[in-house]
Amino acid sequence: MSTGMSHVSSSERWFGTGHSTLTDPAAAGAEAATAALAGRVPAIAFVFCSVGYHVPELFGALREQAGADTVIVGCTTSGQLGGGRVSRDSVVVTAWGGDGFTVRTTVARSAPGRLREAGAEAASSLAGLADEHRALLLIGDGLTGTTHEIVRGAFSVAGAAVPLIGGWSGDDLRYVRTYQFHGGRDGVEILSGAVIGIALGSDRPLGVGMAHGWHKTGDALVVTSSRDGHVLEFDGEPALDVFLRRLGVDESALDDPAGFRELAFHHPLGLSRRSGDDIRVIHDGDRVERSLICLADVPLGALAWLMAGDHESLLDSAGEAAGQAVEALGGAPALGVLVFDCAARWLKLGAAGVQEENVEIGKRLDGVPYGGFYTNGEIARFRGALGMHHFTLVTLALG
Amino acid sequence: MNHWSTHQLTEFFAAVCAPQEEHAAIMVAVERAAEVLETEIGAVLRDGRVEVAWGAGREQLETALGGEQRPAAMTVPGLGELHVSTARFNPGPGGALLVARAGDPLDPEERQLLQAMAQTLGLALTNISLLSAERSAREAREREAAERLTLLDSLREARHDSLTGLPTRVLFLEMLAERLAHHTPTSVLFIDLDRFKAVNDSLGHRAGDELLGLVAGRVRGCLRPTDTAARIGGDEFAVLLNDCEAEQAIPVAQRLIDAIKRSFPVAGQEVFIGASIGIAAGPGAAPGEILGNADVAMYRAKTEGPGKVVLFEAQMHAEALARLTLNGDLQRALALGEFRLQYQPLFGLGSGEPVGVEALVRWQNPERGYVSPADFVPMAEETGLISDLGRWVLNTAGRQAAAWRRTRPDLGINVNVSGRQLTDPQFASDVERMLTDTKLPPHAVTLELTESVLMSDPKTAIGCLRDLQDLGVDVSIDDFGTGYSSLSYLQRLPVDELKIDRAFISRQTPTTADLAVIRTIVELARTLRLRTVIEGIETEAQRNAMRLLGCDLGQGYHLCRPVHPEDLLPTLSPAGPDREAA
Repeated sequence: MSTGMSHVSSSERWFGTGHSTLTDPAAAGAEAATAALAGRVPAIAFVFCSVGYHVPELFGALREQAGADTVIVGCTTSGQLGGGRVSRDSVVVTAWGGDGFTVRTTVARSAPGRLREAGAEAASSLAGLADEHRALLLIGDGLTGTTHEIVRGAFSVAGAAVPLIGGWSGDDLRYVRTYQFHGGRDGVEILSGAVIGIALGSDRPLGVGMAHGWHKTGDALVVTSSRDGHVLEFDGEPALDVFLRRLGVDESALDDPAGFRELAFHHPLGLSRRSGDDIRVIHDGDRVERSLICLADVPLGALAWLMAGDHESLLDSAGEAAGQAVEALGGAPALGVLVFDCAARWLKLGAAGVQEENVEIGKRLDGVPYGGFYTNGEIARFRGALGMHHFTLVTLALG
Repeated sequence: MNHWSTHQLTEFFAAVCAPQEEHAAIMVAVERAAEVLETEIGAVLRDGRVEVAWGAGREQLETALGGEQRPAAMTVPGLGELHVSTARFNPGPGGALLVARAGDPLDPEERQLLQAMAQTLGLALTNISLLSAERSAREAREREAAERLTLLDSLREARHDSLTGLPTRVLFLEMLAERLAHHTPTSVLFIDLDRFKAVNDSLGHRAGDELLGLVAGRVRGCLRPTDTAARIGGDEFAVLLNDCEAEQAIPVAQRLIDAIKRSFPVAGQEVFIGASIGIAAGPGAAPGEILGNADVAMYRAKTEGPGKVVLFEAQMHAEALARLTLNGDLQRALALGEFRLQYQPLFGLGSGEPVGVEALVRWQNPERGYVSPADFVPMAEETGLISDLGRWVLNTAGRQAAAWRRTRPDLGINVNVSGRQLTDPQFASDVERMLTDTKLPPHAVTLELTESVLMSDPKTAIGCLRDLQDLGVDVSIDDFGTGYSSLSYLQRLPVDELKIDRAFISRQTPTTADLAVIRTIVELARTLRLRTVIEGIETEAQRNAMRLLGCDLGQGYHLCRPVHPEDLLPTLSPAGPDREAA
């Protein structure tokens, strides 16, 4: 476990983002950091980048401009947004600083095999944080298994009084290996299989928003057999067969794995919940097991629907999530917004669609700066006890 | 379409019924109820207490509830006022599933769902309780069966030694009793192996076990079919000779000793041991007494040297008693200050100059008079008193050497250390404290350890020696050449000196063969950059021979006898009485 801490209390509050698509990591890191920081010393700087950039040189310029207490965190992604732009192969730096912010971090390493414990360990960063407004931001490896357990572990420590937010790192949807970053001016560690807990404190409100824009189609399906993320049966019949029949495609759809994943992205599973539906992305099918493979647990006994989302409703949800976070500030002006958008939404919306989505977010935020990344799973808990989501857009607004 | 809440129950049921332990089932129920009903808080209350809390600390929730079991609302710091709903579950009075939510209270369908969840939890807990009762009963049955099996095994083992297959003491005494009942002359031989411990220590316990098996076979091979051999314990065997007077048993005992003296192939090596045998005969005494008498006779045989046979005589009991008394006296001797140190110098064989002294412990008991270390040191090692005695020797010798060094600044001090002391975790700090207290430089101190101590567990010894080496003191291997040194270990042992055993120069004028052995050891020591000391120099011829062979230091009566501390400095002065011989 390693920790970092930053407390800034001597200057005007600010929030900045920078975005670079330069191919050289050092140059890209410098361009994004310089734009985000604009000569200011941040309390925290987030670095989100595609997997090709995860080298120490990426952080060189940012470290030079960081203060002794600046916390640097981040991860590899499946796309990022910031500086008003969206791109796939790029680096985005999002940072804030000034009066009244506190940041503390704890890194839980080797999370696979001890997910709940790792979540609880990451949440221990909240210890001693006495600010009036608090939130726990989680950034972790998106390939560790049932990530729901990490969030449950964090909730067991944070309790219901502290909102949870964040996203799991990605690798351009290859699902091979993702990386997390943690450090400061003296060096940044590049980790894998880790969960970083970032305890945020502020003397002004923090607001969380969340929306997905999907709706149910067809009849409900009862999950009669499942194991971890594998759905083996719907209503006693092999889940893969039911899925193919519902979509009106035959077995040959599985011949092209990328094509099948693309198809499945448009038809995630929705689990019925009080305030809507909990979405599960299907990212593969197992021909031998006749199962559907999801990125998160689909519990035995759950009632599920195949979901559909039209282009417009998905775009609307982006504006809705951004708006919710700002409204949750209770009338206080927003300083900036962190965005965790699902990588599967990118696939669903397409390259042009995410540009439209970005416009929607920008329009709704009306000049408030924002930055973030496309995730392998989104975390948002600001009511109830459920914190893990998929195919969803999650936002955190700083007052 | 149904209300969303009805969709949740099967999922909840599956999750809550999966765990096999009560606490895990309760935990899952509370977590899932809070997630499904989107409540900030979930809890299980039993017997008026919060047993499990989710979303807030247990004590925080106890405080918020203020002792109420079913409040409609409560205030939790950081969350404000929450609507509370509870549903009782069976079994047990007062068991309830509680959820608390900000914003809207639970609607009727949600309350119904909560009730169903509570009942599901109750059902799961009943199942777990039944299953665990069944599991406990099954485990108890299995444990009982295993215990019966163990008991049978132990009964069998109690009568037969698993290592050698021979009868044990219990069965041996039963057979002896049966023979004595016929009033026929019966002899009992008590056999103790000589040097078995050295084999066990040098080659390991597995080799020791292998050797015991071979000895058992050889003992059986010397007996008639009607006789019985048994393993009494450790390296002790007993033999029952039917229709045999004590005198007739002597040649059998001698045959056994000869058989055991022949080499045994153990762990790929030829191993030589011996045996001492005591004989007692019946009828006339109880079986246990006859075996005890044979044991006492064996102890006497041991004291007479290896390979002896002794017939039991009544006065031997008194000797055994004396041994017990010795132990008691020894315990008191340290407290009463009856131990003294004498010092025997070590000389450079080239220069003839004294370079150090070896501290030798002496015991003067008011009633016993002078007691030889050969008599009390083994007893002190056996009882553990050696640790206290060794510490006393170390500190006394250290203080004395520091005093002498004011006159003779180059004089070193050698102190003997037992195996028990070496492995005592306190030993290195004892040495360090002595060095601090006396201000002796560490290089002036040499600790002497016997070869068998170092070789019995070389890995542990290396660790202990490293601690001593870190302090800067020298380590000497005493009585070198008498044990089973492994050359590979010798190379790795952090030692500074080899002290060649006196047995190699036991002849007044050393033979060519004696000299060849010593030369080999000296050359080995040179290769390993170790100092050599030869002990037991009793003639001028021996001294000359050792000097010519290149031994660094010498010790022995011819050079200087052990002296009392007050006599040492005069003895070492050029005009001293013993210096003429040196």
